[in-house]
Amino acid sequence: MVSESVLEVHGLTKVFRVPRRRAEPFVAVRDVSFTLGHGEVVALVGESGSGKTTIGRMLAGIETPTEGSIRLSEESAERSGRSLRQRVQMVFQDPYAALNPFNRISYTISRPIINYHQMNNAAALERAREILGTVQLIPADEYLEKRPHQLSGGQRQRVVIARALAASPEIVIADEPVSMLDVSIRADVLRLLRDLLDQKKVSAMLYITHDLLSARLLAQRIMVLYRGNVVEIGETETLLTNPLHPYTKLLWSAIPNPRRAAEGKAMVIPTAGTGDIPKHGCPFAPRCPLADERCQVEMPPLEERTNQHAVACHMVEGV
Amino acid sequence: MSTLLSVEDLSIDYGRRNPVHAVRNVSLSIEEDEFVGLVGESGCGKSTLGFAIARLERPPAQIVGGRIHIGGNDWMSMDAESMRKARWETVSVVLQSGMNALNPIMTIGAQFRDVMEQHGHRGRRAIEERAVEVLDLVQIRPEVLRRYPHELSGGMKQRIAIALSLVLRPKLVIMDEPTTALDMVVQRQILENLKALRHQQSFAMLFISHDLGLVLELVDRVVVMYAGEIIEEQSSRGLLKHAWHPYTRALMDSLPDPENPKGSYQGIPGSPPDLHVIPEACMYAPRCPLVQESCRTSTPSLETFQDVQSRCPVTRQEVVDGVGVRS
Ligand SMILES: Nc1ncnc2c1ncn2[C@@H]1O[C@H](COP(=O)(O)OP(=O)(O)OP(=O)(O)O)[C@@H](O)[C@H]1O
Ligand SMILES: Nc1ncnc2c1ncn2[C@@H]1O[C@H](COP(=O)(O)OP(=O)(O)OP(=O)(O)O)[C@@H](O)[C@H]1O
Ligand SMILES: [Mg+2]
Ligand SMILES: [Mg+2]
Repeated sequence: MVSESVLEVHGLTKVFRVPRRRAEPFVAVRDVSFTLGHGEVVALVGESGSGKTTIGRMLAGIETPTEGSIRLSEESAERSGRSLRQRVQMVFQDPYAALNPFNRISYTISRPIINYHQMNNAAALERAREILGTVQLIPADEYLEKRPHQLSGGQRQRVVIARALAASPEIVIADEPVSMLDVSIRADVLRLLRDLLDQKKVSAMLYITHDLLSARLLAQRIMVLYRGNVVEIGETETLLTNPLHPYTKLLWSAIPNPRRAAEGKAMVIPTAGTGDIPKHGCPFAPRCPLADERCQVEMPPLEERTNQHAVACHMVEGV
Repeated sequence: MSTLLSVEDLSIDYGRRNPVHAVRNVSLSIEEDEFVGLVGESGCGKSTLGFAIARLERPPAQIVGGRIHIGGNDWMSMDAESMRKARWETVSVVLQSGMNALNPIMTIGAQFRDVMEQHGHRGRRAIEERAVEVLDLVQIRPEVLRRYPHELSGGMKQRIAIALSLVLRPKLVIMDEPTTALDMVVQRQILENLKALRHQQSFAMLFISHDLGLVLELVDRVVVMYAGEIIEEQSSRGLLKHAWHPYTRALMDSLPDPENPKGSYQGIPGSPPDLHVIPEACMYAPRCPLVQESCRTSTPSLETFQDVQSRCPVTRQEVVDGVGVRS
């Protein structure tokens, strides 16, 4: 069981104000609270645009929260004096945008090593080789010489992971780190991420994904986000074998399954509702098969139902 | 039905000195209205092939051999002006980096206008109507037309890139990993939308993905690449029953199975070969569980047998002998 927490997030909110237009400010993340325990991986899942990356960017200090607090545990003595930016590293979602096209991979990886570890060039390069090995870009020497445009999508994604590791962070925010990888390498990268925790190279990880199956493999807990709100959070197996929120159920049923498809069982997916989200009600109400009047006007609070399994839904029976 | 795309013996290298032979002797055809999937592991040459078919390859990539015809036209000897016109109208591409393919300093609406006006469409109203129509196909609301790319999430940008590719009703759409950035629900919606779209608008598709499970649900026929070559090609229906090539089998076996959580993500041991030097051997031999001595000493050819093209003589013999057929 997870003991002390490495990271505590309380009431995190991000509002984007779009200039030039008289549009209403947009709440991308609303009142999100959670902890990352020592050695824990928490998966953050949710649809496109639900605010996953925005949460990650706030944790990594790239985006300023509109409200709420992010607290890191006291630093251990050996690691003290390090900046937040170094302690929390983000593996960026889009490997095409994340790498500077003009820099060789050697520069991309060795720069954070030199900056954060005060190593000389030669030592940093040696370390860079090691890290490329861990993400299976072999032979490392060949990849060190390359620039991003010479790499395939999956190879770039591994470089982005390697760069985050180069800073030796305590917490890794991995934003869709395996989305461009095929099964053969995906399993390895997931194992690699797992090993980072098992070998205590990293204290905790927020694993952002839309892939529930990989979340199942990697994470102890899953947190489901819908339009900026946490709608369900719980221990992985509990949440997946007994999903409570209608949106979690929908996510689970959307997983590609060619064998099922071949049997001609079509899936019915409620469309993303063109109507606006009710101002005070549940954000999922416009798409929800169970929604009643109450859901339209009253936001359901995130409530614990069974041990550590919390859901925000009026229609789930209390336990 | 007639053939829309025909690729014969296409080879593509990166660089001249010590080149990477990224695509080798690939032949592939797509019928009008047919959906074909192109799968294979990271770095096997899928994007390189897709780019070349759209003639978007840029140095150091160069086509070192082969022919490409689309709708009967020689696609290799076309002049720049015809090429410009044909792009978007005859062939459109959704790039793997689709989310960055959008121009950061233009609103989404302006980008739709730009593409349509360049191809002779006039009238703000009509252009906007068409844009809204294709955006609806990918479940994006019309408001985004007034937004800039940086205000949108990765998945939204990706869907807009898909919508843009369909706006001029091209005959062939090449989609390179169009849904990797998307969540399962949206991915599924797009999949269902694309299936439905086939009945409304006739077009053929080359759907590039490393996700065989997804591909099998969408396409009529699957082409499997390994290390720059096609190693198997057959109908999705057939493949679900029986994969021939050991590599395809490994791919099938590593499909995540929602019903069997811990069995998922098996992976395929070993790593893909270096593409600088092409050995006189089966490229998959070092990783193959069925490898035989002859696999290491001669290059197997792609042969058709029972409507299946496969590059593995060992498993072909199995079928001839009547063993190993799962049905
Ligand atoms: N700089 C910005 N200005 C205005 N709106 C923004 C900005 N950045 C993000 N948003 C909006 O905030 C919402 C959440 O975006 P975010 O990138 O966090 O989503 P996500 O869950 O990571 O989605 P995806 O799975 O597609 O990557 C989106 O609706 C997006 O349009
Ligand atoms: N500009 C380049 N110079 C040298 N080699 C290159 C260049 N671009 C790509 N390659 C190499 O060519 C091979 C094929 O790359 P390609 O992008 O076609 O792979 P892919 O199958 O699309 O992979 P992914 O699924 O990761 O996108 C890779 O091994 C890659 O390293
Ligand atoms: Mg994101
Ligand atoms: Mg690619």
